Amino acid sequence: MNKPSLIILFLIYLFGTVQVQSHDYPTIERVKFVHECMALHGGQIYENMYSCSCMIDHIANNMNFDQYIKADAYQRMRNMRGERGGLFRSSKTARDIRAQFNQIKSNAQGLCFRAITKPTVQGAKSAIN
Amino acid sequence: MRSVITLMLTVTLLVLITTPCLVKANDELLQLQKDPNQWVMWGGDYSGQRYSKLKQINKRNVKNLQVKWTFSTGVLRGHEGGPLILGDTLYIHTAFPNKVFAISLKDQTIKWSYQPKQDADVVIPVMCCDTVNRGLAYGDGKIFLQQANTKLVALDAKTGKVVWSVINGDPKKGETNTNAPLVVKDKVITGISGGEFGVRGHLTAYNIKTGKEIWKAYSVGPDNEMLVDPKTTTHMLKPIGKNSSLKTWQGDQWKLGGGTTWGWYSYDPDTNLIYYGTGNPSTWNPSQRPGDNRWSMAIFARDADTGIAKWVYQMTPHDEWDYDGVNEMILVDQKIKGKMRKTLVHFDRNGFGYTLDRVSGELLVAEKFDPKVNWATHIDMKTGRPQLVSKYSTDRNGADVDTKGICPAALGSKDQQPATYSPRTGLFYVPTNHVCMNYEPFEVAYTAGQPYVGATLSMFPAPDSHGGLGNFIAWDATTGTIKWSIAEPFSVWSGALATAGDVVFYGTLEGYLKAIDAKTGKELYRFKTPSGIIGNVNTYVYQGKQYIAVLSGIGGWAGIGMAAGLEGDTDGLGAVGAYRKLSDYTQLGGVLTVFALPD
Repeated sequence: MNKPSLIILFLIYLFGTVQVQSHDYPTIERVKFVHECMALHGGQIYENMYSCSCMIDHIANNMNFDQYIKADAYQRMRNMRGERGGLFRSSKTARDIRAQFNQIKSNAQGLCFRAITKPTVQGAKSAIN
Repeated sequence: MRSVITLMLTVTLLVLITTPCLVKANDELLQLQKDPNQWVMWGGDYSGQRYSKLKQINKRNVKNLQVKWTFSTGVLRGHEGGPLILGDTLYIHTAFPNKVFAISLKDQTIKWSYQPKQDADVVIPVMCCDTVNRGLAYGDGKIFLQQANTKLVALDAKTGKVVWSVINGDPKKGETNTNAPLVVKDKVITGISGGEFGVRGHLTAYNIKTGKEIWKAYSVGPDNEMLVDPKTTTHMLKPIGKNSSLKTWQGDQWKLGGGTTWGWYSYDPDTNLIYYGTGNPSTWNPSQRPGDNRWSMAIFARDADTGIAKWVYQMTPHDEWDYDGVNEMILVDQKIKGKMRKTLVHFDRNGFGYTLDRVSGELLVAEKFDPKVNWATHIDMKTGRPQLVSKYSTDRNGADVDTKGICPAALGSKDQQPATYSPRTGLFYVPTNHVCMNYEPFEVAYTAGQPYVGATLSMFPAPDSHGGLGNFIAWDATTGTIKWSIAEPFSVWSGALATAGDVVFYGTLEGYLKAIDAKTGKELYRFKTPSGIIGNVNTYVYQGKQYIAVLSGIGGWAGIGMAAGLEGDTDGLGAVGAYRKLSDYTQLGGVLTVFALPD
């Protein structure tokens, strides 16, 4: 085995270890995030897959899975109609959690979508439907 | 003994003689609900216990559950209720526009589907609290759907063809429907929603063959329209007397009186009584409607054949907090103070768990099922009245005063999501809210079809507690005590299921389906479904395998608010908030997830 491959192996080992420590997100949840993110950005194209995977990695580095699930639920529930949704729209807890989550997401967005232009692939929209 | 048998025979004969054509549908449902392999009505059976005798999935192996199949409804918004299972077919409904799918359990193909045409611009603006539907009913070879626009539809269970339909109300006056119907004998029972629009609630029975109205019983108003008998209908074991409702309203306010009937209906074949609750009096501003506002916020026990009330019990006289009394009525037989009783157990929005004798209407137990409940100290067992705490009285503090720190919030300590009862543990398992509120009433004028609310609310987690918005509790209804309580980060808005495998299932707003040990409450399994769960967990067997099925569907995707232009929707209260077209995003809708053990 030559020297460069040893270094690469070492790096993979290191990187892998770091990933295990910083991510407690189940694979399903990360795949789900990437799917939704791609759909909202215009469809299943490689640029979106790269950027969206980058985003969820960044989010996972900044909040543990329990925090993420809670913030995500507050985010979704604000769209609920009626008196029940009021709790999630206007309570201070809800607004604080959402603001923090949005900040992390918007940082991730800036970091991960920087180099990517809007998708121009034909049929990208229909791919999600 | 012989005289009892003779009496029973006589009664049976009398029933047979007087109601020859009624017996068939009733018999069919009575037989079907005994088979734990099927799930033929919202509560599993007429008692509303939501208990299944199935035990292939038990507390030891539930940890191995897997998703076996899923079905996307293609409809956005909250998905309440759960599937019905009859033979080899699963029937599932959706939120507005209330589609119905009949799915083959053999290969998950769609046997038929039904999509009603409903005018979204008329119906949706008058639906206060999301565009939900709580599910279907079965009887006489038909599937019954109570559409949002108040049309009650009978569909042929085999083909999905419309057999008959009837209009149950008028959305232009704010009348809508969200409830699951209940089939009793030759009747389909349904209610009405619209308590935030000055709608006068009623329960109505339609003929199962034709859709013809048989009886209609209003919650408030003149005796003849309420189907009460001043001499024989009782409250706290005493006759209610003449004009029991009219006397408790000022002027004509009862005409906008509320008392809508949007919850669940139970039935006891032995007493032949239908049990259900009535909602808030209109408006939410209590100073506009002095008096007890009877019979809003009440439990009714009505004769299934005539609709005449046998007894009624008002939980919250002169409501000042929007504590609708519509939550489910669970019928069980338990020993209370050494004596076997046929009871009705009801977890009210007002935070008290009530146990009544369902034959006589006698109040047996009334205790707080959330220790944070503060608007009343206790229920006076002689009068049945809550003993109010004046600083939390929005009526006493008056209009345009913000009354602070009331527990529970208007959502109630528990909303409609039905609890479950396990005869094996003798315990009730109850999904609850742990939320308090500030409440400021204001003067409001009535316009037909416009919100008639008259209060501004803000809500927050119960202070000085675990910080979460909900609990899942085990409750002993014979004494009115909490056995154990699981703190939940969010309110639990999913209907629960208890099984003979000593497992209790429920869903959470984060989207988890959870399985817990019925004795200890220890978590045994969790799985995150595609979105928040406000549906009811049901179970069935197909080809020897037990399945667990639950609808998820609320909130959609995290990014959708922005994408669909919903971010501006910050209105705190139901009746307001415009409907946006979300047709571009329909693939993000409700999902039925079906679980089983590995093959």
